[in-house]
Amino acid sequence: VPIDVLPRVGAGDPRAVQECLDRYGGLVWSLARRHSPTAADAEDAVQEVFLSLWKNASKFDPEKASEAGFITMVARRRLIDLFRGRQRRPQTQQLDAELEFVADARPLDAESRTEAGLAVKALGRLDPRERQVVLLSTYHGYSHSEIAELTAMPLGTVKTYIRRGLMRVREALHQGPRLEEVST
Amino acid sequence: VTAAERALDLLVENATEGLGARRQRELDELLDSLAGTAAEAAAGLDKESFELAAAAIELAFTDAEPMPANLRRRLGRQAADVFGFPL
Repeated sequence: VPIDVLPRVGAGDPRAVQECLDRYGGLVWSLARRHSPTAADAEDAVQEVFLSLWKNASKFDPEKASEAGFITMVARRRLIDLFRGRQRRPQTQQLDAELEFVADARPLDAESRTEAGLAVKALGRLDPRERQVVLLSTYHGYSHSEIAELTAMPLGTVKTYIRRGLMRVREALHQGPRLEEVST
Repeated sequence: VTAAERALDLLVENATEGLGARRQRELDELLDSLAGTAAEAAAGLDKESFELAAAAIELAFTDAEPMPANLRRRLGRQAADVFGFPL
């Protein structure tokens, strides 16, 4: 597991800032591309995300999340804020794809594999319809009402599925082995 | 709907699609009013935990792609402005 860079970024270490960009630039870019309407919007969003990361670097707590997990959380927070309310065009073929999601999970590195792996396992234990709704929300970024329209489910059901799914994942993360215990 | 259940709904909404200013205020007030109570402990009303759960899911399905070279240069300049040293 590589040494965390965020504590050093928080301390203003120039090499850590460079390392942070090198190590996580691709992740943040990929997240921004998925959340942004255009590539130009994504480029601006990446800058916003890194500004937020540098400001919040000292808040990273390795007991709560991996560095990649924390960075993904900060990025999601900023991206959701930037693009909230944007309408998407649901594609029905996505629905079938979500039902066969497990084989497509490709976590970033050994450290985040643990965290992401726990999330995938927890999702795998959900009913397929629940899992589909959770992924449409958390991965594809559809709003709860868009998902209700897309799946023809009542909005209350969509909200219940998302809440239950996130609670299951949260529970799995809390109960999961600590990162250092599973690195071998 | 109890205050704790309403807070849970808002925490999930915050982690998945964000909250507007009015709902954010409502959530903050609910969390303040429930702080230290048995209801808070039972429901696990921790703001970051839902965001981290959603982030773990997105991370699991995300392949990091190289960012464009011009964006990498822009970030280098931005970092230099913020931290006051060249990258």
